[in-house]
Amino acid sequence: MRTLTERYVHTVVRRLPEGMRDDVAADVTAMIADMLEARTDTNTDADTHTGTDADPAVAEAAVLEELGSPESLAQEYARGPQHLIGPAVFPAYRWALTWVLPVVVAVALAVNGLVYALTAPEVHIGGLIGTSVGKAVPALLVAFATLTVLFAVYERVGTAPAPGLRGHRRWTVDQLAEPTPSGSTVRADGVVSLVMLVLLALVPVVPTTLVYVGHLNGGETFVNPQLGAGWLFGYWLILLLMAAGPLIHAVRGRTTRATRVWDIVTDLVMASFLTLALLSQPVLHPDLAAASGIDIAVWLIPVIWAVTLWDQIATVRAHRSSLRTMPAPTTAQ
Amino acid sequence: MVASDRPDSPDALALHLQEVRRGTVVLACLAACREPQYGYSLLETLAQAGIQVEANTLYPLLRRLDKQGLLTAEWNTDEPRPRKYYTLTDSGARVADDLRAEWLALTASLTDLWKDT
Repeated sequence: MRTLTERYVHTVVRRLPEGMRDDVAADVTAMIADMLEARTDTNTDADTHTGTDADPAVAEAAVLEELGSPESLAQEYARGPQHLIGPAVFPAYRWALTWVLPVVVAVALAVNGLVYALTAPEVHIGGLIGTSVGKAVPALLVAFATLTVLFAVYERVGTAPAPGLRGHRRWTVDQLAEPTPSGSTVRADGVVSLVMLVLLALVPVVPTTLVYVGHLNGGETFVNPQLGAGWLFGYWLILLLMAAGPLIHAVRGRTTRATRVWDIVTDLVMASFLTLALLSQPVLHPDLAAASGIDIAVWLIPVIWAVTLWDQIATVRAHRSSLRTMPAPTTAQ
Repeated sequence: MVASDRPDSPDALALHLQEVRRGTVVLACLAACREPQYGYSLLETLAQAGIQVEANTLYPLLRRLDKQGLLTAEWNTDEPRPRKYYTLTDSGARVADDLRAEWLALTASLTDLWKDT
């Protein structure tokens, strides 16, 4: 059976990288031997011991307990980051999560709902919701895990400054931004919104081959080619109006009450426009509509209003937060 | 508020003392290793000088200072038990001088500050 010291040393080094194990094992073994010798010498010299430490096993146990847990000692030797995502990159990580996860959920729900509606032999609302949600959850977890792993890797190999340091460039007051609801994220939020709007603008021209249902209509678009040009231009015009708010946020790096109100109004106009379009004519490609067991309007309209509502709540919350963090305006004398 | 959260609680004081002492251990090690020392002898040297440091902190620290090139480590197998001796390198000596100058400047500043108030 291994001695206590051997077990202790083994427990320390197995938590360390392969390359440093032998060296640290020798180091810790020598340390324990020295401490043991010192303890024995002290007890012998002073002649005050009660006999307990005269027992080598008792002395060995006492030394190891003095050293503390092998896990803590291994941490002292490793001194690598003891966290997955450190304070230097955590704000960016949290920001990425708040943007990516809702988008992944919305896209997963929409795509899986569409594929189910178009490919299931018999479509039921329960099946539609179950399939969409059931497939959105793994997508959400995969997105979360992927982001976390990417940031954790960046934390270890990236050039992020150590906590407490501010990078190599000297900070000047010129970099001081106007008070914003969440610091520099307003500009980034604006850019992400613009990218989303461009993607939405592409929806009418996206071919069905993109989500493996191309065989249903020969790879044509999801949208009915017979749809009046006025509807399409109306859609793009509203998207253009919706882009104004994010564009101002991206350029100026701050939000105002006017741009927030504009965001809310244009969102509501778009939701109403889409609802009207879906209720007044076949928006889906006729071949897809024929293959689908359920009218697209039945599930797409609730999704549109759910996304719009979520967006309004996010806008209002961001605006309230900005009101709280903005300094009180000085009144004119 | 639990007792340990109070700014004058023993736990809070221990934390501040630890912060104050943390930076001094490196300087103390460099100063003591002007003569070759093995881990436990250094521990005793520091203890005699009034600098309390735990073995589980000191040994890993010595290894890091060795990796940084401030100390050089060599196993001595002439003794009954092999021991790793640490000695101050030239660059270690320069760093130690700078740290000592900083320490003296800080001490002078604190002394002045204390006098003024």
